[in-house]
Amino acid sequence: MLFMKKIKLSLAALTLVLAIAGTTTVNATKVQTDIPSCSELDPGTCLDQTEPACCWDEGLGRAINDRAKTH
Amino acid sequence: MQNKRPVIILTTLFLSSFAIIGLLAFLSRNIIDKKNGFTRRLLPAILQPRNRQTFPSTIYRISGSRAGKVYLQGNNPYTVYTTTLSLDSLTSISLDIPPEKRLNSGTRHFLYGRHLYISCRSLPGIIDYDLDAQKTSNHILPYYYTKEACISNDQFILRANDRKTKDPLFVRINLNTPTARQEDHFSEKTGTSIFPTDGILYFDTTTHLACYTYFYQNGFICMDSNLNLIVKGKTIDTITKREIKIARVGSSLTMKQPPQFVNDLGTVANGKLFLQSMLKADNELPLDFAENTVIDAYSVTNGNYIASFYIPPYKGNKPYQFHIIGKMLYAIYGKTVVEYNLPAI
Repeated sequence: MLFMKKIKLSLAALTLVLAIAGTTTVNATKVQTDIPSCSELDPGTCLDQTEPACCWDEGLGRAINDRAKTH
Repeated sequence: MQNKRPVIILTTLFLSSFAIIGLLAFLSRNIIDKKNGFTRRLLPAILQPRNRQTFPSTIYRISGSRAGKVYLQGNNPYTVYTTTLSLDSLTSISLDIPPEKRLNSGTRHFLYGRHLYISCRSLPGIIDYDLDAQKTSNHILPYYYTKEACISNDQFILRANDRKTKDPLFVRINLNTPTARQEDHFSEKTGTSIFPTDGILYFDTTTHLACYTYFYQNGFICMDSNLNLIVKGKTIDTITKREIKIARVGSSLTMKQPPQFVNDLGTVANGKLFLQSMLKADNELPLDFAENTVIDAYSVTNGNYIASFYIPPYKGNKPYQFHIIGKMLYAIYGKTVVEYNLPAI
């Protein structure tokens, strides 16, 4: 009985530690994901209507901002 | 002894949680609190929201204003939203334009009097929609362009490319004679791609100057409507130029890695350039810079730095775009537009 109680207490404490540590980590990393990006490494973020040119088609001589081509 | 064990375990766990938090806080401080070697003159006033309006779709930009109404572009190129300057109404106008697949991307609306110009970079061309007569006239251009600013009735300044060297340059066009173009004499022919000097083009109706700000390097330029360089301003950051590495993917060029921005969003109004800086000043608190959108104001006539202020987040989000009409600042947060009093500068 006492053993079960200990286990429950330890689990509760561990959950608390993980929750606090997790929240802190999310907050610590949040400020670094602010800058929009678009590149070969991250073509999915090359969104339409954003101003930074994302992909330049040499054949057409035009910027394509909907998505970087990966052909 | 056995009764003490849970207490010891609990104490150890609590202490370790504080140690983890302390370590993470220390690490995040080291990452964020980087000295960038410049300071801002931050205005003490905090922008307070006056009014807000939520639209049926995401708002991309404010096209302009006329007769006490603000015109906004959403994610449907065939629809325009209007509201009052105090954002207390919402009207949707369907544009009677023949469907065109290429209008679905890269379109920007510009309002000039009763003309709603729909710039379609992928057409390439500009559609003139008369809001009163509800008539359209298409102006197809013989070359592509990446930026545009409406400077007067049927007159635009575009950022296009040199016909021979392909270097980016500014051209002035009249929509009624689209094959003729006046080119600037100050853009450098460096043989580089459009990426290093990419930025945003604006037009200030007060001073009749077109300004161009850079994403990845310090400074901005302003030119008159005849494409004479009037101002070559420096932004307060100490970054001269970010190195942009280019990657070739098939017949396309893109950036090798996500670029580091120096400046991002901006707008011009009343002879001033309002530019969002992506760099924290040494006299700013890291959390203030992280949570707010910092705007640096410059004079477009002499390039001097005036002051800075913060646009606060709305429901935890930073604005996607912002515009200034008169003494009000309108910030776009997805579907919601919030009106703030522009601080006295």
